[in-house]
Amino acid sequence: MTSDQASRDRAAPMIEAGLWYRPSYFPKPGEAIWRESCDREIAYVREAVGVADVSTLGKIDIQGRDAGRFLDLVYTNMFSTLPIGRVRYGLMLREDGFVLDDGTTARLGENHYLMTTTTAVAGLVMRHLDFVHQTHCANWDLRFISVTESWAQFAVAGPMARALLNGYLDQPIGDFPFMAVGEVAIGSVQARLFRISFSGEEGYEIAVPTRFGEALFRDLVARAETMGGGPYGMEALNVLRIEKGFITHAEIHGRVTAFDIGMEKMVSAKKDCIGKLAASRPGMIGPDREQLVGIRPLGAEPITSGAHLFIPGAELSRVNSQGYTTSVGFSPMFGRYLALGFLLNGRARIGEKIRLVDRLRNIDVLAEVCDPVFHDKQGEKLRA
Amino acid sequence: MRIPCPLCGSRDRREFYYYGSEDYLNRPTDQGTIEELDNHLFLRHNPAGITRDLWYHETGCTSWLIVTRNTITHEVLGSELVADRKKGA
Amino acid sequence: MPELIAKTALAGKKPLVVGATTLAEVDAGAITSIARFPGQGEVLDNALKPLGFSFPAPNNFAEAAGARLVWAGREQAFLIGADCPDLGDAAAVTDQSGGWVTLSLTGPLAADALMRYVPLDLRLAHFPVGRSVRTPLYHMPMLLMRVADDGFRLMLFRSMARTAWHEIEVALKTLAARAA
Repeated sequence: MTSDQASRDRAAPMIEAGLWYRPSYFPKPGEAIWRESCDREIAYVREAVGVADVSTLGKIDIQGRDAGRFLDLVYTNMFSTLPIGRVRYGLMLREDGFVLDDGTTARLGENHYLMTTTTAVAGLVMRHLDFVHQTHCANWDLRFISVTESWAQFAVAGPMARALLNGYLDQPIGDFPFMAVGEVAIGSVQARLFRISFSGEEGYEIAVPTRFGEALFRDLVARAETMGGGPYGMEALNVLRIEKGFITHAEIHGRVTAFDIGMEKMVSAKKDCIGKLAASRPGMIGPDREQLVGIRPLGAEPITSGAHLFIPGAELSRVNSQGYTTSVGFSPMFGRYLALGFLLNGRARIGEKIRLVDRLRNIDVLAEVCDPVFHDKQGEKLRA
Repeated sequence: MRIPCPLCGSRDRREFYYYGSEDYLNRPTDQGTIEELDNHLFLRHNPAGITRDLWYHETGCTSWLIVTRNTITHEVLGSELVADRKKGA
Repeated sequence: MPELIAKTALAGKKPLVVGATTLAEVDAGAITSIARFPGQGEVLDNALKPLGFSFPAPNNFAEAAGARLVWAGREQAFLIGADCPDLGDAAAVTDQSGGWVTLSLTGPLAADALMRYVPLDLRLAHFPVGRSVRTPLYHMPMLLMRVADDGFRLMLFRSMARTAWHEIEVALKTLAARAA
């Protein structure tokens, strides 16, 4: 990534994400353990402004008169009706009805869309799109190509994100609602601005041609630091999104349906899509399935992902497992660890006490089943 | 093992991703029956002899190919572009 | 109002010289992908004519007035070193300039060094000047051109630039050491 050298200069430990290295956190002198850095970076985003390199997410440029029609085929929801200048969250299924990936797709023009995919499955999604195209609609007016490497893209998130960008871009942002996309200028460079947020705060992503990436990252970080914020890494990014109940491939791990993650309404009844028929098979929907929930321990002890969930008092056996945790992070806001996970008929069990057990790490605690969106359920901060 | 890509020529097998039977080309729409869907996804012939499978030229031209080969003799008999099949819109 | 500073993938890296063979980063300038829509062959060729090109056949590239039009995949070409004219509805066009690192590998060890990582016969008789192929360099997707009897242009994903450079450096030094 273009921020790679700047991150290493700051002694950020780099971790593998797909084919890339991404910074885990940015330690400051005097911080003894990674949690101190992570907690500080979370506060940057919740209280000031944080900057993160999100260039690694797959970006696919899709053009042609049949582009919208193609997106309607690969996504469960409608994209041909997306207005120009808007971004929409999309869900993509495999032909067997399980979730392949999620992402946001922007409509840049009448016949021009830009799809994003999760970093680690970008290649898999491209292969899938090529298969659907060449197999089912090879003669459509449709062409797409990866532009992942052509754009450097940075998240600027927090209550002061807009102020940072207004002081940096050639023109102030102006009227730019949540889920909008548009072109902005930085000197002679044409950039793309997206108002999307993975942190749950007022957030933007700004993209420039890659050769300007390092320069933009260094400028954004310098400004953020002047405003009481700074760069944030993968650890903080993960806690922020857990607090908001935003899923990653820890949740959509290949055996999960739209129903399981509470998105059955996103599967449009008006059209076919890849995986539609399979998703309607008996057993793919219903109270027998493990559904996405939030899990909040009653105490402050650590918990782990991959822990199993039991009814308190039940024998700890395989058949008694009611589900498992998928993502865990320490939330400074709630003063304890939070988890996302899957629980049998979970949405009907909000408020119930559950026993979380990880025998590999000697963890056995009580927790409360809750809505996966722990923070700002109404999304007021997103739409500020 | 070498696979003949119609565009790129004969290439090392490692440039390709193997998917499975050409049966994957005929998806039922959402108006299909569950049985049709089940057959499409899971029910396969397993011939000793000529098979036609789907390969993706992943680190080459990114074309999907139908490759005809013989599972007894290991001969690769030929390939065609999936995109060039005769099919309606 | 800031003016962002542009940097190539390996900005500042000095060419590597091993005997008479040189590896160097090249700033290729503008790179535009041109993906031809179905049925638009003639329209597209007409739109490309002012540049001196027609859409390339698979595995070939052409040069005209300092620019190249390079076959880059199914129904796809890259225009390198010139601004892309308005092609109307004939093709989907994207800017690929920042996404690739372009390396020049020239000299007697070039073909042998590449063939340690590329599963193709790259000797001159089998891979002549004017050939462009999509093939991997080790595990990395690549667009490879022979631009001279002893010279290649390699295009790889920008984020893999350092890895690609390192692999070729190891190959060159190993070959040179054996010859010594």
